[in-house]
Amino acid sequence: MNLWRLELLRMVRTHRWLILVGVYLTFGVLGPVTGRYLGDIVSSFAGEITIEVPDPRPVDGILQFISNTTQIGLLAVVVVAASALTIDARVEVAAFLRTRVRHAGQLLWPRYAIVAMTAVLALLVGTGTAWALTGILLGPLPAGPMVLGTLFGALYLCFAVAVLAAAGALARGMLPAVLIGLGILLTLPLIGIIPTVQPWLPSHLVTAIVTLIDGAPATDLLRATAVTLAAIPALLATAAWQLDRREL
Amino acid sequence: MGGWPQGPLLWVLIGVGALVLIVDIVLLLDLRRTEVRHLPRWAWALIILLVSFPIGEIIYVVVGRVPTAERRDRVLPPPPAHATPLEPREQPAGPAPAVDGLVPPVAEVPDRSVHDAGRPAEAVVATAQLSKVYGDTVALDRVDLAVPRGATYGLIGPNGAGKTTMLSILAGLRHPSSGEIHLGVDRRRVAVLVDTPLFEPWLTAREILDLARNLVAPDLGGDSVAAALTEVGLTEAADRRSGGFSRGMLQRLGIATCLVGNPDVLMLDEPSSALDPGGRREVLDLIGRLAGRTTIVLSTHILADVQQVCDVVGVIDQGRLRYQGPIADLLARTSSAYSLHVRGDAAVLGDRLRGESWVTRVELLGPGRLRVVTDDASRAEHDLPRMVAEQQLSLVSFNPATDLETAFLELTR
Repeated sequence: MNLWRLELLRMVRTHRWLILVGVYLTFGVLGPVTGRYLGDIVSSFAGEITIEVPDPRPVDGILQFISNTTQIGLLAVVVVAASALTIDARVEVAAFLRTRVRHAGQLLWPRYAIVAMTAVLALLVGTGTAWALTGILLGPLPAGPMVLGTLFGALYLCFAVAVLAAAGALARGMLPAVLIGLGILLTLPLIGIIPTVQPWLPSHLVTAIVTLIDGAPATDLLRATAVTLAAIPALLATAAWQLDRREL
Repeated sequence: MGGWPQGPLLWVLIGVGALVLIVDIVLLLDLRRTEVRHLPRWAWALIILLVSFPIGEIIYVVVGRVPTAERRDRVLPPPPAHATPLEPREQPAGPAPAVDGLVPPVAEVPDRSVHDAGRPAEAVVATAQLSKVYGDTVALDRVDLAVPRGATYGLIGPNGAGKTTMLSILAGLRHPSSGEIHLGVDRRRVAVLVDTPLFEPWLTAREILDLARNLVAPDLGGDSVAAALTEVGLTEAADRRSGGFSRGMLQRLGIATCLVGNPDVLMLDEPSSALDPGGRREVLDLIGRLAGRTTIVLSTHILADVQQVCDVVGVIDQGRLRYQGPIADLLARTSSAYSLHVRGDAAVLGDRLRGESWVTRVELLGPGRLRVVTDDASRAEHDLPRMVAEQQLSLVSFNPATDLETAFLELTR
């Protein structure tokens, strides 16, 4: 048993992977279905009122998926990441591990990697489902933007998990870590209101699929990608440094 | 309009910028070393860097920084008169300690135990003027701990005395405010058991032990896991998840996680305090079996446990080390009592004992039973059996009736 297997078992035996994959898979189904039948659903509740709903486009299916996963999906990632990355939440368990490693980073890397990989897996499952169902219900989507956009979305999830690693190093408990993590991740889109800043923010990657399907070049996302790629190791290094300094 | 400032204005701006930079660097360096209050260090660093110069810097110096004089006042009160061993301990023979540390490198330390000829061995765990301050509370005050190699060292003291803080610092889980720690072994050869061990509830006992083995001694094979399970009597529960374990089983599993790496030093924090009598007996038996194989530091407030399994003791109270040395010496230096059970007329023996200079008090407890209080334990142990024989009495039992509690109370009173 090594630390990597420990984290894999943590993800499997606590069923946390099911939460992530379940949430993304659910929205992967609901997104295209909602996109396809939104007009019918609204009309059935409208009664005497006539509501004009534009004909659904293929991009609407994936747009619904992105919209849902940006909120509920991200919340699920935050909660699962916080539960795994608050290393010192239970002092006795932390003492067992921390007295057997040379530095806390040894505990952090596998936890981060396994959570991030599970989140990316959930995104891939959800996006793949949404893509397939959209193709069936609304029409085909271009493969290039879908694949590239998913990769950008996966990078954002890695960033979100890294934010939670740092939050877990700052706050000892899970709830404070969730609040700090959500605070940071929800503040970024608000900062993105400033047009000159928005292309640099990791949150710009969340809607990469829709951006690319709408015809924007991938180079529009390079600045956010660069910042995100720099932020992830910086956040993890900060988390490891803070964990080493913290007393149990 | 526009462009870079030029002429004198440029030099003024450069000067101000350099001043801000230097002040901030000095304060950040100071922040690393000094003690702060109200906010964590990282928050003070942000205040220094982000709040407008010089407001942030002033706030840090006035509000956040604990003045040096205040720290000195808290950490350095006059030492108690008996903070050191009651008598200077015999200096260990052999090579002198390394200049830069109290403990020579492992290879240079001969593996002598305190049991050898009654002489103290080199300290395998030692601290020098170790202090720990939490805010206004001095948890440890210049403690010079010395745990001889091979000893079973009992760190005793009342609740809140600083025992857990001391063990946490030795284990690397907390940082000392000042002073030094010297380990005669690699830190990973030191196994630590917290007072109430807990593990991931979804791991089995075998998986937990295998994880511990892999982290501290990956070269050891799986046999060491089985051996540790056997040692603590958990073989039948090996494949059960720890979430269903009782407190006693968790304690034994915790000890097994320490044993599986075959450590050189074992630190146990209150290992029996949360256990029922049966569980406590099991843990003490286990410690007894380990004695001599490894150096054990045992922290507890249950003095009877220490008296049963320890050969060296450190008495800590209010963060200060009141005594350190062989437990027999501690008992000998304090009022001691012995219970005596003889066949025959104990009253005659009692009358004779009352005439001895080393006897403080004699109590007749019942037919053939005496309690003898003495101020010289070694003489009592030598002379009492002889006097029983001289009185033509049969000695049924002769036991120390002074426990560590008496000695402890005399030290901490």
